[in-house]
Amino acid sequence: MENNKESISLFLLPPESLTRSQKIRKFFQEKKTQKHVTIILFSVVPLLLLILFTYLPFGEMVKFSFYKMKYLGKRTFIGWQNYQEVFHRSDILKALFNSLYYMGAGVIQLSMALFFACILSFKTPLKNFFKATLFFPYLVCALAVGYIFGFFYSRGLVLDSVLGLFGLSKGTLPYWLKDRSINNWSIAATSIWRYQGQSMVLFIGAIQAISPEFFEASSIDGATRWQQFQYIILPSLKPIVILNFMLMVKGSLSAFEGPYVLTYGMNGTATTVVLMHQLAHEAGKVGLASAMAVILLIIILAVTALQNLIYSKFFKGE
Amino acid sequence: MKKILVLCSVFLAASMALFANGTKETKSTLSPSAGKDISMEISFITHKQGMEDLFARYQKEFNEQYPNVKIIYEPTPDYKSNIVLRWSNDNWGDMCMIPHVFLPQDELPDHFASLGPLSEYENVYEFASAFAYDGQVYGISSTGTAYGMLYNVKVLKDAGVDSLPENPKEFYEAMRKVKAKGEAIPLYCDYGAGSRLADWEWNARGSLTGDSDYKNKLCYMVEPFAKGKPYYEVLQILYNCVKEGLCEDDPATSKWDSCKNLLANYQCACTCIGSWACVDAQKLCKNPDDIVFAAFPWNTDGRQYATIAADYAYAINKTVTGAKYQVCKDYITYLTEKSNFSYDTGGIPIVKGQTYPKTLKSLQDNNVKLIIDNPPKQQDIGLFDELNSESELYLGKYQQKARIVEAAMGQSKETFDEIMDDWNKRWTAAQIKIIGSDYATRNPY
Repeated sequence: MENNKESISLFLLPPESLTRSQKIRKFFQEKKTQKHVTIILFSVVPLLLLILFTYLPFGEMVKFSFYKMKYLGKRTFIGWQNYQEVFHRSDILKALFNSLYYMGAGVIQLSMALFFACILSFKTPLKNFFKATLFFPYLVCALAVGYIFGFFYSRGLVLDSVLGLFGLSKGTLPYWLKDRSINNWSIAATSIWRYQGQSMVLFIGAIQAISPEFFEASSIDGATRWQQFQYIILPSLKPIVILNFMLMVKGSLSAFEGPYVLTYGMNGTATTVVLMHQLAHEAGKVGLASAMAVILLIIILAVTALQNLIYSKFFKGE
Repeated sequence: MKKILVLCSVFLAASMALFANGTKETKSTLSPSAGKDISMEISFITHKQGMEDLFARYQKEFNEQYPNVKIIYEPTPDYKSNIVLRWSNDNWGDMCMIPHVFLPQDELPDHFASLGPLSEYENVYEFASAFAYDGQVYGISSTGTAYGMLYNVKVLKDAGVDSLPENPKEFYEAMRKVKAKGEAIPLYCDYGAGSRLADWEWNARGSLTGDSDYKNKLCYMVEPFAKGKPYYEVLQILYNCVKEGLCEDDPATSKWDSCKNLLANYQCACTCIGSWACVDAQKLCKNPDDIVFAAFPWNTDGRQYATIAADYAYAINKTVTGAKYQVCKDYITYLTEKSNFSYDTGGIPIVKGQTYPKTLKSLQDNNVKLIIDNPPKQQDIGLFDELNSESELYLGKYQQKARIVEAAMGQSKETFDEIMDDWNKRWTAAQIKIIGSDYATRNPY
């Protein structure tokens, strides 16, 4: 109690008359300081984890990219050579090109997610059942996805028999994974199946945040469902659409699981990350793979910046 | 507030101590014999999955020697990728398996404890030198694998092939006959499984040449993938079979599991694989005698050869010392000499003179000579791996062989000769960069 009284009085005294230790005590008792101390203490643990598991390894990787090295054994510093090599290899360019398939699939994925999100946000029979069903693939582990789709795309198995029901004969169907003209699409389709639910959940969340009064008022004014979508849902969803779009682009540039579990990146399906994995772990060129990773990061950052620019130029001003 | 700060700093200090721990341990090379009643736990990282029954049996049998020692197995999926990351830190555990042709030999002492001088093992164990460096043994192979072809002889017989093919001509004929009969897949190439394609390559070494130093010579050879050379011949058989439609219809979705079942169910005539697969397929077949493992269809002056290689090897962490080291070493001895692991898995037994399992009998009957890769000379240790990495030919792996199958399937516009030319070019470039432009004259073999 005594102490408390004294600490209150610290604030009443004129600042010049305080001793050094009193000044320090006063500094720590100020509300502003206390707030900062709390913030710092609370963020120490997550920051520590972030630094330990993200920034430190990343720093190491940047270091690796200047060496000719394997994980084990001797390392030699070779400067920018790895970076030069990245730009001179046709397979890396091809791998980067393969990301376009995933971006194409990503656009379909987002449109489907938005469509389902709109339907499932209103009164739909068995709403929760459909939500769960559509979200479920996201929970299946990548290895199982590989196994499932291995069978799905096998000649004469699941997909072929389903299409057979619609009168398409086996002879007219392509080999889904063997045929280079279609195998990248087949694999990209698995990523639609897998991630569509995740984008949908994000959209549903955002739609539910829209005040129901808007819908009520607009329907009294005679707005159709389409008009509601166009003038209420879409404008309020803009930030989340942008977010989903950014996640999608990042995901397509760093697509790994699909091509890896289904084809090991063989037959022209290697994406940048699959190629990175192959170079680092199979060919023993960790330095080169690290340089690829750094460049990929720069590309992703550039694309994100570009998106932000476009977003602020064209949408913010409205 | 102060308390929290103090706590935090204590925590930090503690964690630092934790990380620093173990680096300055003094290492005693002496290994005092461990008493029978010693009690401890030993961790063992393994690539074998779903073998809990077997591990339980080993535990029971080993407990007769050390009643209070517990071996904790840690089956690890995607072993080769994961174990490298584990090894980058010394505290990965007590024991593990070293994958075959994986680590350059001069790196063995960086991770593992020596198990004794090579001279001590050489005359008793097969493959003793496979995991040795500078006269010391660092790993004991768990079993050995022979490479060749796995046939279903009944399928061949039904198609009118009475004896197993012993040269490429007979092989093509046999495959064509099976195809003409139309009831079975002649050759399961197993392209979709990736790693199985590498099995073709082992045959290009010992099985074709009968030369134990072939792998070592490869480093100094001029254009070793040119027409007529072993690699060209072996991979051409693969290419031709795929091109002629003698393999499965949709290789992109093939896997070893399907292959195994097809072979056992008389729907497939043969596949190129290691002898370990024989037992797996026989288990599924109603008449196991129909599944026969034989040498690669090739003979040199009437004599057939088969490449054999060490499998994954048991090893002890270099940080393990004292009584624990002794127990680990005794466990390896138990696994090698008493557990019957080789026999159960149909592999080549490690202890010299032990009876061969039934699966390898046909090799013995046909007087097939088994060829093992010799370790390279001291100055060449790691050279093959360096060339392999530099050229990105993925020798011993599947990526470049997949390219051959893709070309044969008509998915790329390359011809087989173009691919082999490219291999030669890359290999030569790597040789010049690493050995020097006079590489051909420096061949010590």
